Amino acid sequence: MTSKNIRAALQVVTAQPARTMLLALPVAVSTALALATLIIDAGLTARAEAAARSFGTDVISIRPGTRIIAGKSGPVGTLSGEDVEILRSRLQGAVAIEGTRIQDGVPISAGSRNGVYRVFGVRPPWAEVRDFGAERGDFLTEDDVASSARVCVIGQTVARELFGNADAIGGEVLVNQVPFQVKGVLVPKGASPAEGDRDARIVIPISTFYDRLYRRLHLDQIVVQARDSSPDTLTSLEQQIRVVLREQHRIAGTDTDDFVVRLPDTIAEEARGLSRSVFLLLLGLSGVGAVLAMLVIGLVTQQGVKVRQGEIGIRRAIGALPDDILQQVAVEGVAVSLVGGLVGLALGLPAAWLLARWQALGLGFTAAVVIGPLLLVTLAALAGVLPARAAARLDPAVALRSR
Amino acid sequence: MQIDAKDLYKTYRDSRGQPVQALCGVDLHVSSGDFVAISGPSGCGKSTLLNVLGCLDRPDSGFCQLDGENIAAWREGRRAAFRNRRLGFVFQSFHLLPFLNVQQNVDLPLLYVRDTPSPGRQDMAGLLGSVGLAGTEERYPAELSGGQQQRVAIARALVLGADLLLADEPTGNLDPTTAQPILDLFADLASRGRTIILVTHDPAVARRATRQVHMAAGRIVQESAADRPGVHV
Repeated sequence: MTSKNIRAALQVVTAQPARTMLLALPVAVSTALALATLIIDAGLTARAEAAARSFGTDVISIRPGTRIIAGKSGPVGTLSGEDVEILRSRLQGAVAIEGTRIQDGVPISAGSRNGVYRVFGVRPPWAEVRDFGAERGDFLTEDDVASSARVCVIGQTVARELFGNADAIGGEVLVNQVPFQVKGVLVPKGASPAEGDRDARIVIPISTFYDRLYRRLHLDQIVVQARDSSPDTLTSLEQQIRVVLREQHRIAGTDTDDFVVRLPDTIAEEARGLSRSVFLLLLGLSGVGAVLAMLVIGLVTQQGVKVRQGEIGIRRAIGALPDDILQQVAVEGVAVSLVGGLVGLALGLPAAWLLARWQALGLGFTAAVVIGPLLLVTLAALAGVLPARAAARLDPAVALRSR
Repeated sequence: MQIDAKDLYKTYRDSRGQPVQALCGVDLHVSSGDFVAISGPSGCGKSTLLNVLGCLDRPDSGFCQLDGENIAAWREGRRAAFRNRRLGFVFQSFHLLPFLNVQQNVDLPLLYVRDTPSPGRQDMAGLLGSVGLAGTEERYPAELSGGQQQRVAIARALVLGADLLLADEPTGNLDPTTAQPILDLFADLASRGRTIILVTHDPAVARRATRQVHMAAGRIVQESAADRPGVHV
């Protein structure tokens, strides 16, 4: 590659800006699309991984199945304390299994302040499984459970909203009109796409939940902590759980489960929001754009070689070698593709930034974000090489005869 | 530049694949400073002869020396360098690059100079002045008349100091009043020692040369000298 041919190519490309921009447009559009898609996907993946991590990469969640009753879909009360007992006795590879009761939208007040929060009824080991102990004060004890004590541990949001700057510990809150004493404040967890604001919750003994608040026997969630977070362990546990619970719930061969088992992967996938298939569709679109860009550059360059026979002929007559022509025409394709790539960058980055802001995502930069658009620009540039070879093979005596 | 061509043969295949005998034993001797017009009906082989002498085409057989060197034996790189440094081409349709201005068009051969150190380009204003284009450096071909465009092409042919100009119907796209000054320019260049071979089918144009060579069916059939005795066939 010699500088003279780069110069000749740049003369052609810069002397005809309208033609260059038109040629570069498909490259720009597909580059922008690929760039934005890849950045957003990286951001979504990071969010999903964070969600899985914050739920616990070694934690499997079992929820009741849903059933449509009177046209409304709702959970069925299929999970019980017995299920927890039988899982404890039969699961291989689990280190802890805890059942919880959960109630959303519970009115809670302290003095004149009030709010609506999520109430968890749990046993003390739950804090270990979910890595959700008390930051200040104490967590619940076995005695609290045994005595159905009216005590609670409150999340950071609850503490802030109900107590402000005052110390919440030792204070009293009314949970659905029932007075509870605050024993401690939970560690901050922040928002999770899977569970919302995880600091807007309070945790009470599971027995108190039943005795004092909501008289229901079934459980709303069973969490299973695996021995480790390897896919083998998690998959094996999932299969065991389904075998045990189907047997326990007397579900016949082909009937569907009346419970839902969610692995960290599932939680991550749900937290992505934008599903993988939408991402693949967008990526496919930018792939189609890339093919279109290659076609446009290839065909227009080929047409250009026909139209520009006189130019090629005169360049040969004044001393250009076939290689010079090949390099010049190829560099023209490269230059147009680069212009397209840069315009794509200028369009795609702000678009990704806006989308990320809108979806409250971090900007994700992975290898794919760099390689994808680069590959696209390279392919578009390569599309100019074949016509460039045809240009180099032109017989100058014949080329000069054209007008 | 001195040219010695002997027994040149060249056969083409036309677009239908039929063989066309363009040159059938051409002998030509040209001395330095000659202004030679090659005329003849279209298809007589005059453009082919010009392309062979201009190192753009190779003869099938025969012998062709430029300044004592046999160009038939040269590889493409040497031929291209020779075209670049020693030859200048002028065409009926000018072949200027529309997206370059006059100065850039004239400078184009400098792009393909391979020897180092590269020869300095002639003083642009002086060169343009000598072909009657003073002050047009920044104009684009579309802004020029046909005659002016052909002058740009001539300046381009001369920019590296070519000593052989090959002109294929240089006035073919010009009206007679525009053509005359162009032919005057060729005559002037020849009088200063440049060798000029001009191909035309127009007898009036051919008469402006100091030697007239007539071709028919791939052969030189007649030669006449305008202002000096002797026939160089």
